[in-house]
Amino acid sequence: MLATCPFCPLRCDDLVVRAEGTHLVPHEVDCPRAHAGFAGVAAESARLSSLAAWRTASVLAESIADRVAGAASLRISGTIIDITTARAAVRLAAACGGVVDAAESVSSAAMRRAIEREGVVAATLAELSQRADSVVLLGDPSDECPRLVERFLAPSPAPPARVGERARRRFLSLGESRIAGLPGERYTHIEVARGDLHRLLAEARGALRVGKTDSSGIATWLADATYSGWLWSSEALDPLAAGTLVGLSTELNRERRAVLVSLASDTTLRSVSTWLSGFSGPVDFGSGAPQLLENSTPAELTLWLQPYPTAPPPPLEDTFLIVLGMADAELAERADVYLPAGVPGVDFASSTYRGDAAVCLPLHALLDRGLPSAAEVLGELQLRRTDRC
Amino acid sequence: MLIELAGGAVYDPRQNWAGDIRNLYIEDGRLRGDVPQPSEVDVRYDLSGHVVMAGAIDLHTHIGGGKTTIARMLLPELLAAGYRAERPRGEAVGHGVQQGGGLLWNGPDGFLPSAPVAGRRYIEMGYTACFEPAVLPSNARGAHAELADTPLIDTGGYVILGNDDVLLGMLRDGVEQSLINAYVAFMVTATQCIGVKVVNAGGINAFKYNQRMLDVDDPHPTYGVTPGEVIRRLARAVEEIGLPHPLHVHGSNLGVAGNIESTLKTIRAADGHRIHLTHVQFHSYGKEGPLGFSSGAEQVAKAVAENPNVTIDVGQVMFGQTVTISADTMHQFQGTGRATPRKSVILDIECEAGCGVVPFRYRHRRYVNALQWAIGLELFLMVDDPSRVFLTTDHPNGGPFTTYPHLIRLLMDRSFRATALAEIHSDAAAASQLSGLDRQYTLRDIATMTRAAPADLLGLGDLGHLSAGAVADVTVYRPDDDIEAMFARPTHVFRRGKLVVRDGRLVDSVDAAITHTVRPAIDPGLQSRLAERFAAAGGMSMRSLRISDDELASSILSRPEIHPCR
Repeated sequence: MLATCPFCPLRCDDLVVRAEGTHLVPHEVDCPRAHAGFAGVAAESARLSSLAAWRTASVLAESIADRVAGAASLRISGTIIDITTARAAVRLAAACGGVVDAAESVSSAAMRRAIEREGVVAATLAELSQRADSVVLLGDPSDECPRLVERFLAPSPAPPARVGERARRRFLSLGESRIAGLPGERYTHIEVARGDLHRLLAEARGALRVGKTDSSGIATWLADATYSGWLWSSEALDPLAAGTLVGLSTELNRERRAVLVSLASDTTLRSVSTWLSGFSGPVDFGSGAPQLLENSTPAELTLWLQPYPTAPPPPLEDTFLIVLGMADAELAERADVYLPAGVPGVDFASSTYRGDAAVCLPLHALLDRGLPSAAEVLGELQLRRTDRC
Repeated sequence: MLIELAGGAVYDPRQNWAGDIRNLYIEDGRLRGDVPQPSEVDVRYDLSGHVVMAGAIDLHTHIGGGKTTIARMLLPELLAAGYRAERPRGEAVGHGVQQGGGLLWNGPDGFLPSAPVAGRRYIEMGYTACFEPAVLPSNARGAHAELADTPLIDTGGYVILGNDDVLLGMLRDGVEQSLINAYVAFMVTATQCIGVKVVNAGGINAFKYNQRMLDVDDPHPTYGVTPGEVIRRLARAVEEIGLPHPLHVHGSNLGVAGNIESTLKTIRAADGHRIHLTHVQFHSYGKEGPLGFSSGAEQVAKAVAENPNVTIDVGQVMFGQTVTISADTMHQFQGTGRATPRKSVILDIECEAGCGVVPFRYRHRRYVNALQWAIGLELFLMVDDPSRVFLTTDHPNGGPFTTYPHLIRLLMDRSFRATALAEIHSDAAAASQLSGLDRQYTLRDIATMTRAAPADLLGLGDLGHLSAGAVADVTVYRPDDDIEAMFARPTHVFRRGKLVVRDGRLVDSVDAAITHTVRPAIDPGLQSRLAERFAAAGGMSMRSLRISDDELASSILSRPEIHPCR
């Protein structure tokens, strides 16, 4: 059956999966994230099935309702990849006077701050794939999005969509190691330590502004691009690099086209939280009305949404940790309370934003294992909270 | 439950009622045609001395879709400041009011309210249905989800076409009109929209090739087709597949001095097919005078009078801080240098269109802004027929929708308008014909422009009027010399028969979101050809684009209300 893969920001909607008993296996796709994601779900399902029968959303919610109601401060966070769960998370935070806070990567946080300061010129993946004659990669985003090269970068854009005369797309990567799968003859790699990235970008920006060359040759490379697209890994951008990159893209667009393409994992919660609260970023409902929280701090109780076992776990913090979703054995052991729930795009249908933030795709229900969804549990918690109020 | 609304002065253009004293009866969310026995009435509201209209309809307001999210991301400091400024001192806020499974809370208000606040502000002004005019196909799910989270009002959307590589490729290849028609019908159906909008036809696409201007008769740098041809073929498709709403056209050269010529060329390009020119104030600029910027309102009004296939909404500018959000990246990019504060977002989206977000402050002492304000009012006052000109600020582009009561007063109160005119840049006032326009809108005109006419133009058969069987969306006002105050705080708003606003304040909730949509027929024999073109274009697959009724109801959480095609 056709599926939208929930396991990385690309949200590939061409995935074919095959049911083997109560487990799903990707078919004819060479994607380690998809295979690991489905394998992790299968392993956790098997482990949980051997421990106890599934419990309903109502039972799960009741088991923590007093704890949530009694917490002096509540933070709802984690990787929330679907609109249904995101809505429920924001509404529970509002009902409880808590904080809702997407687990954003280093790069996402830096880029969000840079955009708040200066704005951005950006694009979605299809534009990059169809138009760009030149692509710059900061770090290795294909490590986190394994089909990035296959689906969006390797095929050279063709007329009429292609911008510029270059028949074959070329690549430049700036980072600590070369990126696999890019064509050698059109691929340039410049070794850059993470902390040095902003310096190189700033130098390139300065050189472009005055029409000169820079020591790394980046400005010269960029000056020869008609439509360049920029991608980065989740750890590549510190605040300085993000700010410089935004400025550089603005500079480039004076005479040509250049776009930044985000591949963030927090886009769905970010979008939903923003339209429901009015603010992008951590939102605090502690005063009753939503307010933007400059810096999210640990709360007495953290309700962590873990949509599938291979999603990033919560940071180590001094908090009472409730994990809701599907964790691996290590996280399940670490949590003070672990409430198993179904996987969006596997156990239940919903909608999801791709990592580039504008494209919204369907997530399909592929299996019926009788698991409650995280949204149902959050909804039950909200009802209990409202009753207690 | 049977509700009697007794003795109000009813304005319902559909029934030719202009202040007629009538009793209305509501049962099961609809208006009853017969007069029941007094004993049957469960609740009676004495509305003597009050003005009664159908719920108002906003046919062009940007309240959903990713661009509002981007704008909120760009401007946290302004939104937080707006919230602090507008929150009444000492008002208990609480943790929100339960609203039909959702929550309403106070939040950033002003020019970019959150979805819950936008729904609340609209219903408190007596609006019961609002339409998002820029639904990108790849973002349609998200747009409908945000609209579904905008409580208390019905919603709908117009899908954006005319810059997508699929359509431009078909036009370049000279395909037959039936394939264009099938494409448009598929896109409307797949995205659960009620209409089609074209934004700077071909221009957004041309900007991706680094072209910075494209006039109506200029060929696209790669596809070779002109914006005029895009508009003509799309307008014809919209007519031939029977959409009630004509092609919704955001013209070429938005905001550019002298763009009146482009607007007139756009009307000619439509070749007699029905078009709705949106936020036409931004497209009504001459380049006369010492500053090279003048009013083209009279020419637009004349063209509207001469072309019965054309309707317009104004996109009135209101002074103050706002943010401009538009798919028209070509012209939004040009505006980035005037951004206030100086930051912006420009986004190329999925080989379909784009999104440009540029914050801006309209100042009454700045010549261009002041003349923009005057041009909008000239358009309202120069187009004689209120069923062909619609009240919009292109929220939030010209100003927030919460300024509608002020705008209505400007239209209905000549002396108030004269006072306002005296406060703007004197050269702009002198360059405008506004001081010589004595017309005052009547309550019947307002009911036409904000109720009956938008319902007709959108094909909403049972909205916008108070006839037997109509949806019981009813707004009641207390007459006031201060017309702004009257329209800002209705005494009663009934949505689908339920009293939800009393004395300008929300008092109850409604159960479910409703999405107004249409289902044009799609020639099944052409679907495989469309699929080939989708696959070649590299955007979203046809399969992922399609939003079923079941998905809309169970996942997006809005119930489709399907209106017949023509």
